[in-house]
Amino acid sequence: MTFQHVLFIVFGAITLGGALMVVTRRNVFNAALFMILSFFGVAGLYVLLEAPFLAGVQLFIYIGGISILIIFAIMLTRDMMNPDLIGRNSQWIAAAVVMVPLCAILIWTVSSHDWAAAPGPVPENSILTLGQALVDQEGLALPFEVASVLLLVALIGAVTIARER
Amino acid sequence: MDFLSDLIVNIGLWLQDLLVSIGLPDAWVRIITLAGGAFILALVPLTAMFFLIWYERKIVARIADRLGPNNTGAYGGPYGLFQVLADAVKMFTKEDVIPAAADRWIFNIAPMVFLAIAVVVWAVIPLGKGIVGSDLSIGIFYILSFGSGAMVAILMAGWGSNNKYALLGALRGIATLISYEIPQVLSVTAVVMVAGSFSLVEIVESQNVIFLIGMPLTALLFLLSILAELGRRPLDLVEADSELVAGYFVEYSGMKFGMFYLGEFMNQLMVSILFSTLFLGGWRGPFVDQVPVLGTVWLVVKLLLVMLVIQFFQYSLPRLRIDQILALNWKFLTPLALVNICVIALVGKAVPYDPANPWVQTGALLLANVLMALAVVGILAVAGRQMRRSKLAGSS
Repeated sequence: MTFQHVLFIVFGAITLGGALMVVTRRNVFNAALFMILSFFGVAGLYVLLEAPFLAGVQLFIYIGGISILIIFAIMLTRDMMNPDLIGRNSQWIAAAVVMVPLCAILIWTVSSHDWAAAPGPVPENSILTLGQALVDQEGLALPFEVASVLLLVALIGAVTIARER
Repeated sequence: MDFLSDLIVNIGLWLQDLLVSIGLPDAWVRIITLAGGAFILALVPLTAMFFLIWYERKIVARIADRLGPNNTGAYGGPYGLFQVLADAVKMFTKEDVIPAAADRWIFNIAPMVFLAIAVVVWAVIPLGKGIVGSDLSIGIFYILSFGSGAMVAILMAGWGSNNKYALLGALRGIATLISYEIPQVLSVTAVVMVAGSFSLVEIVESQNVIFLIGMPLTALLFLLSILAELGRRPLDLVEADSELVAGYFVEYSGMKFGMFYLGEFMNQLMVSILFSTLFLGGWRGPFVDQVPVLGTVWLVVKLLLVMLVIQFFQYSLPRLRIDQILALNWKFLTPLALVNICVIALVGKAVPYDPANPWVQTGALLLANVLMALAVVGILAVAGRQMRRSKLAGSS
């Protein structure tokens, strides 16, 4: 039971506990906050997988961008946060009929296979490797970046042409 | 004398030797020294607040032509140094008021998250030569990511208060924070490009010539965007002291308000240290190679200087409206930051860093920055003249 095991259990519990709370809370805002907690747990798991950049990006984009966006969307939807209007879900029987076999199949698949594989080599400076991979001339990321610049130019052109004077 | 010259590192090594000599296994020694170091590192900003709040109040007072805390109060202490301690004790003794319809969990957790984020980012800052909590390879990115966590705290405070005005203040605050993250991140990216690494230790070590001289425009962009991140005048509509009472933490009283207040000051401290590390060279200074503990002293001097500059901005400029704040960001700072990155990337590659002669790259970057600044001033002048002309033509 090394320290890494303990950390994995802690972060996994945060992620799963947060996710469980997200789907069981009546108050949508509380559910959104628990989602933020769940994302934080996922960031911790990324750190354990020796991908610090991904952990930072998770915090930056998921917690600092997407969660805020979701909360704004919740607040702007009419009657979403009205505690008197939250009703029961009347389709839970059909949902259970679909979900229980699906869950059983997933659990059987995961537990009946031997997932043991040697962990791959982790570059010790993952950011350097990531940066080089993004601009590698023999790699695959550069054509995508060039294509996205082209799309940006097209977008700006379209906005300029269609702008009202 | 040798022990004193590298004081903090030597204390750490002595403690480690002590623990090993007691007979603890190696893993435990590591855990205890790291935990102890983390504890002390978390205490440093909290106790530095006692001095820095006094520092700010004295400066504010002198700018306003008055004295500030001094020894005429009963608990003032000499020069008013104990005033902050008296304020802290007073805050502990206040009644803890929670609005009846507030969401108790969210209301109570928000100041804790705010303060935690202000403390957590101290782990990656090099406080001296060889003194750093954790030399992460994503140093500055870690700080930026946790800065976005402060938004969550503000949202929780605004929503948990169950107060329309607090919620409006919180939403405006988040709008400001999200908007000003862009020029902040872009100016930091320019620094990272020139230094060649995200890690703050390496950014400091690569500043043979401090980046303020090479990239003044980038530094100015960073300074303006962090003024908004802090919620400091002139960009502080979120928490306009004299108008909105206290913005998103209007319903907090007692020590929870104290935690928000403290968190805001610690953000200011954090941002000053970040500016000193990124642009002023961190712990670099004369005689640091011979006496490494002098590095911490230089960092403190630079930090106080940057806080002085931030407070000059704060206490001498009027407040901007929220639409002016957002317009300043999206129409001025973000395009400028984007152009800044492109120009610095080009110049940084065209004039590579030469360790024997660091002034070559710095000079080229400085020239590029000055040309950009002149271009910006020129564009603003032309645009201003056009606007005035159209206004005159329209009104006559």
